[in-house]
Amino acid sequence: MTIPLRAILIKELRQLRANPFLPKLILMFPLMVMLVMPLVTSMEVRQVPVVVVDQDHSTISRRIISDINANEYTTLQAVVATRDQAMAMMERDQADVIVEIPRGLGKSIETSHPLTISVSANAVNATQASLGSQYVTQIIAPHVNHPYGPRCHAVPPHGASLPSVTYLFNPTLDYRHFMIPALMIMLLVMLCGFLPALNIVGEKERGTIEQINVSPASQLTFTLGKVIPYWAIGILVLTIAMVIAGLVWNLWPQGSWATIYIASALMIILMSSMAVVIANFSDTMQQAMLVMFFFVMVFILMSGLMTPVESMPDWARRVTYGIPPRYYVDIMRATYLRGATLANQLPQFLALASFAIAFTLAAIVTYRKRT
Amino acid sequence: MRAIEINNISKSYGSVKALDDVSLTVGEGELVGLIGPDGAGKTTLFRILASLLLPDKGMATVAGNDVEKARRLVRSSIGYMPGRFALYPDLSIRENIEFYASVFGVPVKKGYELIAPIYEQIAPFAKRPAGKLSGGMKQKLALCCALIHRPKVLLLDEPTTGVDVVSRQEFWDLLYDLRSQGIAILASTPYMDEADRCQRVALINQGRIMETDTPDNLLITHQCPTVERVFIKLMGEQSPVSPSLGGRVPCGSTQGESISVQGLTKRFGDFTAVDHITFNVTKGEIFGFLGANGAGKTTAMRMLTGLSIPSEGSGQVADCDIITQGELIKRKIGYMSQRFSLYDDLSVWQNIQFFGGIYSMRPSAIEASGRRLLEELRFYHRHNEKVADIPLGWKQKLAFAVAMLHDPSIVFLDEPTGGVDPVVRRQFWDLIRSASARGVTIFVTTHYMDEAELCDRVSIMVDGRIAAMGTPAQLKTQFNATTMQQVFYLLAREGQRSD
Repeated sequence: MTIPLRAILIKELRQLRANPFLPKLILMFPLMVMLVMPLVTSMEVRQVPVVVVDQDHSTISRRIISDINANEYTTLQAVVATRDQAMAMMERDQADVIVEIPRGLGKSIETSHPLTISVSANAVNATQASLGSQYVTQIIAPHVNHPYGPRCHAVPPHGASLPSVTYLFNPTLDYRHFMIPALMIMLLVMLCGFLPALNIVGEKERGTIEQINVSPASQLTFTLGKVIPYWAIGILVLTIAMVIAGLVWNLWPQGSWATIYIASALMIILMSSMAVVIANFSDTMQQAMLVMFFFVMVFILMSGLMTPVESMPDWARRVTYGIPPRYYVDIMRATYLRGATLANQLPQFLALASFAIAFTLAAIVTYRKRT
Repeated sequence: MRAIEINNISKSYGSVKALDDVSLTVGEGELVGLIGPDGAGKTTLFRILASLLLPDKGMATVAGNDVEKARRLVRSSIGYMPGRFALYPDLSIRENIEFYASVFGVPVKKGYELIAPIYEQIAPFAKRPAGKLSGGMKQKLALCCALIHRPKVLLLDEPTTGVDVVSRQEFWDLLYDLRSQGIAILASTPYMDEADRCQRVALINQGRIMETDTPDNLLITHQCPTVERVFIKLMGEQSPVSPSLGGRVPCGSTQGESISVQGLTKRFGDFTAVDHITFNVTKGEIFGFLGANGAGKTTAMRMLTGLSIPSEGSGQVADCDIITQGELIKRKIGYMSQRFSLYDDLSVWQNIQFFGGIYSMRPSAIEASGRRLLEELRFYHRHNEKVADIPLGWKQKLAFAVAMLHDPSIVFLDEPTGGVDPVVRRQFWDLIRSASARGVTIFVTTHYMDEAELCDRVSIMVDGRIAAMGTPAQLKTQFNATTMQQVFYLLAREGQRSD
């Protein structure tokens, strides 16, 4: 290591240690995100309020009502006589799902022309509506599962043809397993993106960068001196996050730790280089913050981190190929949940590596000592 | 009724006493100067008078209103100009004035009469954004903004710091005129020569007012030729004073050129910041590079230090070509920028280690040179203190030590003594002279004309050109003047440019 590079690194570490706020942030941020966020970002819906319109008053309708009442995913709000009453409850936000049992359902079940139970859900929140109606149809299904039995609107026709589904890699469909790798990615994107950018622009604002510019230290030395500390911080934060995920949420990576660290190292290099490029073009902290924020938003929303890339429109899906974290999200989820190896994911690794190299070159080239 | 009445005010920040039992009065239509170095407590006093800060002890009234109890009345009767320009750089001159008028809920017309003489001087640029005005014009605009609601009392916190001599003189002329309108003015300044323009001056240092009197009386009671000497005499009990600055003995080693440039030019778009300048600086010489704000001094200096590529012309610095060997030059020069550039959050010694390191000095060499420089400054015993905790004057001396650490043959100093008290300024010039005596070339810019007298040679830049160059004695003869201040005034007044 050259003397100037070592001097810059020592200075950065000393400044970090002298900073009253940053070391705490670097430790508290992963702790908070990994301990609290998996609880609150769950998409699981519990205790869906249900109102039943019972016009039948038969044995079968009473059984359905008592099962809805007993199920932990649904809460029976009321049993009413007419649909209008039920709608009124939904409008007052007292119920999200209406189950309508028509008059004569019990008798019709033995005939070849069974009546239909209708299930209506409040779809203002689409996820909640679809999950809520699914819960209710699953509760109703066993009661009406008869060759000529009545049909539910929301479920496919019953009988022998009902497909059997097995959920692989996340057998309990636990939403946390989907979210925890995503939270780790967000940590790295935020910390390794914002901190180096703010650090460099801070030196510009205070005027200390002038003193470095008139010294013989080269562009490469300066840039490396600025980003290497954040590489170390990124790896440290990732390790903390993985240990918490294992100990607290019982989610250890299925694949090898090496694969995760290699992918993360590439991602960290990429983000910190991008931070340097943005800092090189910014004169003030606000400017750097806002530009960085724009990219971080796009990265988080379009990389498949929150919503699957497959659910995006065609053009957007094509855009995601140009968003580097997309590959990292793929690798992290596949390695963490499915146990994929580096060899399995060579294309993603190559894409990520090329982005990392391109951003690093851009960082070195755009830092101008002379104007 | 007194316009400002301050009775026994004290204010501390933690263990630091910013103001210690301060009393002062300003009468209606009186212009009082608050004179003292950076960190003397001037800004704290202004903030208390503007009712932005509560005193720990004592009381003050402004235009008859208590600053603690009648905040609203105080604020509508004062015009306050904080140390840094309180202007919106993206708004034009006119928009800035309109904004301040609307903040105070008065139409621009109502206050126009009062600001008319000032506004007319900047009116030709009414549509230009405030950020693109020169230092002197910004000050005039800020004054307009502070006066638009016809305040009875004007509080000006270092309105002329970093402004060139000509603009400073014009600014004080404007203040003089305002007095006749019955406006009381309390203005602070680190420039001792501005004391003569006040009716009374209060000399403040380390939170205490040392003396309040008319400038003439001060000179008589202390038997000193200038207010600056009075100040040094009064401070003398607190700090060691180096012998006064007499004429300089030219150093012997005058062979060889350290800097030589021919037709150096820098253009930004169609604006020519530096216009074909040609000069030489001899080894070991102290070269004063003077000029009004916006004359092109900093741009020229940036080209000489390899920070900026010239548009035209050629030159050598320390035997290296400034166009092709920019990086090589950087090894041979030291630089102290206008803005203070040591790391506040590191200790003095950590700063020295860092700056030695980026010049590729070995730890043993850093240890030896750093220790020698600090011992020369008699600062070694405090080398573990954080830079943020040491006074400005010391910081400037340390920044100079850091610029000298790698033993450069030329040192560039960009306004090294701005806002520093006269005692430290003298000590600083002692450092400059001893470095020059060792054969180091000094290239320095300053707004203090008494410092210009201490240079071997000076050049005065006007509108990107060098308007005059020579020894201070030569220039004074040439322009038939007794001081460098007069020479500078004669030349810089002709400048048309407002950067």
